[in-house]
Formats: sequence, C-alpha cells, structure tokens
Amino acid sequence: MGAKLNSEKLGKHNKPGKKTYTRREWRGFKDTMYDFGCWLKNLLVMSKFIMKPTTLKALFTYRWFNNYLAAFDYVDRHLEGVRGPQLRIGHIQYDSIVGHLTQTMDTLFKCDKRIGNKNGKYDELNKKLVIMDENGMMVIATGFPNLKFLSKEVPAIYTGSTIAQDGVLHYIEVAEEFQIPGDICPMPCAELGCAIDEDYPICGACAVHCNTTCDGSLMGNQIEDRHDDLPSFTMAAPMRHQQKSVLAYSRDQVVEAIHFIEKNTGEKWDWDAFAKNMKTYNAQNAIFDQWMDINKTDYPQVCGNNIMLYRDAEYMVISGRDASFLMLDQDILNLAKDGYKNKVMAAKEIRHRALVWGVHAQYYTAFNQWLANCWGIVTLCDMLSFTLTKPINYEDHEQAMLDLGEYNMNMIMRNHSNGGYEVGVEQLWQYCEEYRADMVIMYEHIGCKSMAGYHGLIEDEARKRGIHIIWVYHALMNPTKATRKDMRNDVNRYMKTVMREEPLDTSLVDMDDTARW
Amino acid sequence: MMNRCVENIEHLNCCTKEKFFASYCDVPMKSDDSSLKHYVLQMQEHCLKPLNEHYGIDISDAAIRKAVEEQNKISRLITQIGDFRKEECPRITGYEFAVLCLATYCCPKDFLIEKLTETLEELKTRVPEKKGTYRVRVAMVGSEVDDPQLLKLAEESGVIVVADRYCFGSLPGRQEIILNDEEDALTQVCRYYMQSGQCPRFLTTEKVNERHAYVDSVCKEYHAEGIIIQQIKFCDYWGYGRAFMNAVMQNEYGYPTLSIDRPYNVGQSGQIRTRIQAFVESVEIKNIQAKKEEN
Repeated sequence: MGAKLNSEKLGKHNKPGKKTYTRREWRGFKDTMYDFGCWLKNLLVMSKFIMKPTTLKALFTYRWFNNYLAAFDYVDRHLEGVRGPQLRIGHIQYDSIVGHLTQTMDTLFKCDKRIGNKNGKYDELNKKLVIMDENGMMVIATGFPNLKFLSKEVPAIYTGSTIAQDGVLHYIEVAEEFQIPGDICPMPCAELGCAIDEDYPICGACAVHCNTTCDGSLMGNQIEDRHDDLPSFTMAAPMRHQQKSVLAYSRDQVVEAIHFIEKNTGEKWDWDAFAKNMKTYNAQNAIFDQWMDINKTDYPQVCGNNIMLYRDAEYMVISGRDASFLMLDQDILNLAKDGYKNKVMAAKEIRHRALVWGVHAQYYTAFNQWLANCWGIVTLCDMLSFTLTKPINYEDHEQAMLDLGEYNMNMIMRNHSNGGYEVGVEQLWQYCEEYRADMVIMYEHIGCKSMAGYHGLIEDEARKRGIHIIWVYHALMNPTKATRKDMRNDVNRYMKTVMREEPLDTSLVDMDDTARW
Repeated sequence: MMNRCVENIEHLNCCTKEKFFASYCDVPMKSDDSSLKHYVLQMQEHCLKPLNEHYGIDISDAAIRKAVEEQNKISRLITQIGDFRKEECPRITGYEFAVLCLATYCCPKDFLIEKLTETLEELKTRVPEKKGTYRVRVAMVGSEVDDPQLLKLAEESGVIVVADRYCFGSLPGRQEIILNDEEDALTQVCRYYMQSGQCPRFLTTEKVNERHAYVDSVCKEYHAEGIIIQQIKFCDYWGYGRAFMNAVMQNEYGYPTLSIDRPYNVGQSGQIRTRIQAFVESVEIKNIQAKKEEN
C-alpha cells in the first residue's frame, strides 16, 4: 500500500454484490492527496450542477439521468492503480469530460419543453440549438459561433452506458419489445429505445442526422427522427471512404448540411469563426500526434482507454470550439514529456505493448486499466482513436469544404469499421509496426457484423506476423450477454495457456463485479 | 455484411479465374441530386469501367439503351403475369410467381423472353383455384427472398401472396424504365433505381414515409387483406425496417400484420407455419367481427 505501482492488491477493493469499492485506493501521500483534490473538485462541479432547479427536475424526469450518480465511481474506475503522470493525465482527461457534460446537459435541460422551457423561458436559446447525431461531424458547428450544437444521445445513452454498466438495459428492452431483433448492435438499439420511451429532452430548432456508424445506427435514426418531430437533414457519409471517387459527394453533403442549418436557424456560416476554431482543432490534432509519438517509445505515457474517451469528447464533440481543451492538451503533453524524460513506467511491468482493435465494451471502458494492472498489458492506442489528424485548411474555402468532406467520412467509429479491408485490417499491422506492439486486444462486439466479417482475415494475418491476438467478446452496452468477468476470462485464459504467464496482481484475476456500477 | 463477404472472397483468393475482379460501389443512401451524381459516378468508375476493362463489355450509351430495352421486354411480361394476382381468384400463386420473378433476376434475358411469353399465354386460359382455397390475401413485404420456399410454406398455411414487395420481388424492380433522348442513359437508369428503390438504407424521412405509403398502395392495388413483414436473420436494415413498418402499417394504416424474423432457409419451419396459421385465423376473426359490426 503506497506510492509504488501494484503496491496493494486492487481486487480486494471489490465488494461482490455491491455497487461501490470497499474504500478509496491509497496511492502514497502525494498522489492520494492529488486524487482526493480532484475528487473534491468534481464534487463541487457536480454539486453546482445538481443544485440547479432544471437539473433536479431532470433527475426525476429521465431514467437515464440517474446513471450520473455513479460519475465519481466512473472516474475512480478508470484511474485504478495509476500513479504520477498517468494519474494527472487521467484526471485532466476525465475531469474535463465531467465538466463538459454538465454544461451539455444544462443546456439540454434548459431548452427542454418538459423542464426548463415549459413556459417558453428559454425559447431564444432553443431557437439556437441544433441537435446533432452523436456520430455526426460536429466540426460543422465551428462555422456557426452563435449556435449551440448538442447531441441528445451522448448524455442519455453513450456516456450513461459507460458510467453504469446496466445504465441503458431498460432502453434495449424497450426497443426489443418494439420488435427490434436481439442480435443487432445495442447502441442504436438503446438510442431507439430511449426515443420510443419518450425519454429524450424535447428541444432544438432542427436536427442533423448521419448514416453512421453502421446499418443499425442508420436505421435507428429513421425512427428516432419521427419522435424528434424537428426539421431534419441527413448528412450522408460514403462508406467506401478510401476511394477517391466518393470525396466530392461527402463534400456536397457537408455543404448541403450547412445550407440546411442556415435555413432553419437564420444564422449564416461564418468563415472567420471557422478559421479561428480550426486553428484550435488543428493544434489539438497535432498535439495528439505528439502524445502518440511518445507512446511509440519504451516509455509510453498517455495510455489506456482515457485516450479514446477523451478524444471522443474533444475530437468528436467539442471539435475546436472550446480553446480551454487545447490548454489541457498542452498540459497533458508537458506531463507526458516529463514522464518520458524521467522514464516513468505506465505499469509496474510493461510486459506487452498492445493495441486495441474493434469497438470497446461501453460497460467496461476501464478494461484497459485492468489489463495493465493484472497482466502488464499496456494499451498504447485503439482503433477508435486512430483518427484523421491532418490539418483542415481554413484559408482556401474550396479546399476547406473538401477537407470537411474527408473528415465527415473519417469520424470516430467509421474511419476503420467502414472503408474496407485497407483500413479495417491492413492498417492494424502498420500501427503494430509503428508502435512496436506485440499484442492486439481484439474486441469482438457480438452485435457488430462489420468487424465480425474480418475475424478470419485478422487471425490469418496475425499468425503470419507473429502478433498475439486476444479476442475479447462483449455486447457493447448489454453486459448480460457477456459480462465484465467473461471479458477478463478471455484474457486470463490466453495469458495462462498460450503465454504461460503469471499475473502481476493475482487478486484481479477472478473477481465478481457483476453488481458494480 | 456483403462488403465483408466479398472482401473475404477477394483476399482469400477464393476465385482464381483469370479475369475475376472485385470492385466496390458506394451506393446512395438518399434520393436527391447530389446522391444521383454520386451514384452515376460510382456506377461508371466501379461497375461499368471494370466490366469494360476485364471483359470488353460495351458500356456505351447505345449499349445501355439496348439493355434497357431488353429489360423492359422482360418487365412488361412479368408485370402482365403478376397482374393476374389482382384477380379475386388468382390464376397464379405467389409461389409460382416468385419462381418466375426470380428467374428474371438471374437468367439471360434472351433465353427467358420466349419462356415468359409462353407462360403468359398459358395463364390466359388457366382455370384458377376455386374461391375459398386460400383464406387470406396477403402482401409479402421485407428483406431478401431468394428462396421461394417461404412463399410456398405461407401458401400451404392458408394465405395467398398477391403482392411481393421484398428484395428480389417485382414491386418495385420489374417495371419499365422509360428513357428520354435528352439525357444520357446511365443517369436515367440510376435515377430510376434511386427514386423507385424501397430499400431501407434510404434514410431520409421522406423516403421512410414513402416506403410505408408504397406498401399501402400495393396492398390496395392487389387487394391484400393483411401484410406479412419478414426479415432475414442478420439483415439490420430490415431488422429495424420490419419493426418500424409493423408498427406503422398496423397503427397508422390499419392493416393486420404478421412480423417475422426468419432464418435463411424456412421451407420446413414448423414455427413459421404455426405463426402464419395463427395470423390467418386472426384475420378471419377480425373479418367476422367487422361483418357483425356492420350488421
């Protein structure tokens, strides 16, 4: 029990049958105080948020909102066992997500006809609110500085399901009662269930949908659109985005989406605002590349699933509109550089340098942390975070639209799962080489037909290259189909039988966290 | 899924024939001008050009017009055959029609025209089954049916399938494509398929509503009393489309519907047979009750 990594048995904190840990982790005086300070800061942010009348009303209106009671556990879960720079980097990333989400939900609740806007108090704000699909390219918002762009699905379903593992099961059941098949992806299924259950805030001047990330997502949107009852536009993104012939269409879609927003909000696309925000966005992407350069060395610093969760917020949702995130990125880079200089280890032993491919389980986003703590498998980056980072041109307007068209096709969740073999399989081996990864944690999301189609090809290719592939089965947002324990067992089995290794922390090998948040 | 299937065929070298190639078209998900432009480009770059390069197929405007003309001959014949299903006692069953219609999708046209003409002539004098042989007229709607055994099973269970609005059915898909001389043929063909297509991948609300309205119009035209909405397992498009259409056709259009999620091969499925039989009974009961209310 102390400042050193793996100095206490982390599995002992788990209480079978209970939602919480037995106690907070002791990380040595300095790190524990830092961690506790961040916890207090989050408590303050959440308290301020919860004290608002609109938030209190939302708590009793929306089933999904109760998931946020577990927000502190969510942060703790993802920072289990980390020390020094990794603890600080993790806190910067997760705490900023907490802060940003409270702002998002605050706006949603204010504009909501059931809550803040029942009597038209926030009508003006609502007229400036554009509802975006959670997988839509939010970069389009950067040219509309006077508008708010929010996604209802992010707070209701996406984040909710990462905070509490059973957080969206109810909505999946609602959709299945509506006769949606049980073998489809639980994400669009849960989102649709939330719409059928009339559990989304009622707000917005118009909505922009998209056809990603998969057939299910595309189909769910069609039904949700009916429940939204807003003027809507579908910003289609071509699937075969590696083919040059599709770029012009993607560009046209972006241009048409801009015209739609202009028409429905009365706002005009502002090239100056776009340029300002793109400077931030491009800088953020450049810094991300620097983090990854450090991860390619023997001393990776920005590891685990926080890369994905943070990038999801920053890259997909904020998209350069909030310059404070650029400062956070710089802080993270400074911490990572110091960590690298001081040869700080991200785990007690880095036994395996791993990449994560496929889509992670929403109900077990802290899985990467477990991999590091239990087996010394340090995850250097993941499929979803390998996004397009090339600078977007903001001076040449024609080129800018083409760049946006390219980004539109390459957003998280579609850049590798769509696009074909080159990006779904081939690129994995390129990344393995770049990152000197000897292992791939291959998520087999059992409802995802897109990635499942690559299973055999990936196995064959990995065998040729001598890369260990550990298949981890999960059901994205439905832990009843493959539990967290099942996921761990997939790894345990491989590590014991194929790798013949012993765990770094034996208490983490077999534990029951079925009832945990 | 189909993309992955073809990618596996391609990368595992499953086909070693000299001129084998795989090319991927990005199909439109909306029906508008920019999607049409995209569609035409995709067909040119990823369908016509490779066909020309690998097999020397003529892809000129004149060749496309000639192909459309031949296709139209087939469409006219199969439509005339299909029109017999509108009769009170249809002289062709849904199963028989499905077999013929499937042939129009996969047989060389020049071989088929003669057979279809002959069949049409035979049908003109064919004595239909007497009234009451089939208890309920239904439209079969939904995902791909390339195994007509599903229709056979349904018809053995008491229904007659009078309209086929499913992938590889005739509604839509076997209608004439009317070309004008002002615009190139490829654009016109693409526009026709884009506008008439009823695939659930078309995701705009207008297209979604159009899909439901189209089923309604088909039911009216072919006098269908109920709808069987079927979805082949693992087709996510129709997984959602089936659930959605079931709710809309039942609640907004007032049709009795049967919604089934089925495996590929259902010819001997006792479970589906039972469900269709129960559906037939429920429609009959509704009809009896409706008559009582009228009286």
